[in-house]
Amino acid sequence: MSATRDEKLGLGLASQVWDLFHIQLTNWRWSWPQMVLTGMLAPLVSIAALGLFARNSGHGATEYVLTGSVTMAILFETQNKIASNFAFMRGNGAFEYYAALPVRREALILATLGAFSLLSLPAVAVTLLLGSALLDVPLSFSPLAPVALVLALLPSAGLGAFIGSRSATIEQASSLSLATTLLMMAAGPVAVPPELLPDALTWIGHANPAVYASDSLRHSLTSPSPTSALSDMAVLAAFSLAVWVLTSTRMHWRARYGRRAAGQDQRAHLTEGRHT
Amino acid sequence: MPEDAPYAYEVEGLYKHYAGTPEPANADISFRIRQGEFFGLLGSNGAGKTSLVKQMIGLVRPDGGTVRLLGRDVFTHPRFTTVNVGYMPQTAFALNSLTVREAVYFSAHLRGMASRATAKRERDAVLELLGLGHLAGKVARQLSGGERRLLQIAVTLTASPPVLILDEPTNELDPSRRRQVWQLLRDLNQRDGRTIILITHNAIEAEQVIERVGILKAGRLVALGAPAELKASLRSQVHLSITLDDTQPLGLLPDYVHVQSQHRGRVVALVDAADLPHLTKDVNLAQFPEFTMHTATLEDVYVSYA
Repeated sequence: MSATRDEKLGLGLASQVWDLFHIQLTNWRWSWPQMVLTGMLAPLVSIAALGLFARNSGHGATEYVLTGSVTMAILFETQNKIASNFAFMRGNGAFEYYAALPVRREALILATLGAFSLLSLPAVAVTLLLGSALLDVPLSFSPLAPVALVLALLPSAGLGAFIGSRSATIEQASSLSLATTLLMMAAGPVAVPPELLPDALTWIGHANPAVYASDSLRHSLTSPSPTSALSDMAVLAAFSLAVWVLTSTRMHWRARYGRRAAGQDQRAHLTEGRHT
Repeated sequence: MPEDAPYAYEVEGLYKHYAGTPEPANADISFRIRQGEFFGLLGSNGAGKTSLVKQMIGLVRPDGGTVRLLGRDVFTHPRFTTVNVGYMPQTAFALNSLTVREAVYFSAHLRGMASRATAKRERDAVLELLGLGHLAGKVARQLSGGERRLLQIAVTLTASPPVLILDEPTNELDPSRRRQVWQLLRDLNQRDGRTIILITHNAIEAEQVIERVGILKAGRLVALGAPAELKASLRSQVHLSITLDDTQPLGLLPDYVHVQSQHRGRVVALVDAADLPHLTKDVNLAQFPEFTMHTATLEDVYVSYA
């Protein structure tokens, strides 16, 4: 008989994440340039279109257009692509494959978020640099900028994972995610200053992570204001945590029993032990 | 397999009913598989095989009943289950964008071969075992269907889990590759003592390797036993296959030959064993271009329950 393997065998969470991160990046090794190009398209069109109107509304408005477009690049590159990727993995049996290995669902989520966040950086950088030149908005990098960027990425990446993991098909995930992206761009002062928006939209924007993402980028990249940036980042961190809890608990994975059932099983083991 | 070997799987009263479906996927299923056993699970499409297997590896939670793997409940010991079971689903290969080398390496590493060097050694050994070494640098999606199937088997074998659950492992394989896989599975079972659970439609091939079989129908386990035991239930009937030439009418065959099918002169029929002596007297069997006769196979058993 072949020996039973100890359940302690298996990789730690960090090694699982690292392997799965590699697998995700490897999946895109041939097609990432197209991914970058498609990710830049909508934000650059937004810069060109909104920029025309924003020039007449002053420097503040062009800053909104720039950071709003970078936020749009983040939404397209992370939220939409992660949603499609999770729906694809669910459809092609990858979820089942990973769930049948000693791999935690949190590792798959973290690895996918990490890989797509990394893959989104070229599109984000090009949108930022090209937008800055086109809109004539000088960039002044604050040390908070990298953290702001990461925190801007996380809620939309997590939301994409949630949409993708709960959607029945890749088509459903794509359309749901696109609708969410458009809603997030429109609901609040993301690419348009609040004074140019109806009060209702500005009010709704308080519940929109894209507003805080755009604000934190503006407060750390174009008009550095550490205090405002930190408060935006705190809200983004809270959004990230909420989306993480939602995704990691609601994503289909292995069947699990509650503590009560586990306790009963342990008691059964003890009883068996006594009998033998 | 020793008859007193401890159990690899103990399935008791398993019941699963998916919402929105009229019938349960699995109902009142109970069976045990001993460690080192080669067990076959047969059933037509929709019989509940995949649903049963997904509960056996803890991917789907049953509505009732228990599943124990090597003495532990699979749902309260998920890590123990994943470490001890290698599962090859019938679905498309999940790592299609990786090269053969990468797919096997990552699988070995994720299965718990903690050091990268060990995982690489395991990768090379498994590729060698399956004869996939020459394809190591090829991307999985560029492989033929049969090559990809072999890769799926390779990935499942990594890290040597003591229990293997293989869903149609020889699908899409050419005859020589099929033989290679059956031989490999036989070796893994007999030499290494691995418990193998095979889900298949191919009863004829499976019969050569399995020790016991369970047949599922409409979510229920309708037969369980050694192939010889199950075949014994059909032993009273003999299967005939006769080819008639253009001048030979079907009426040449006596009434007690029960024709099952007829296509282009080829007749498949059943005869009660008791009538066999009459048949050889009543009909000159040598007049037919082709004539074969055999007792029940596992496939006949499978078909009789389907």
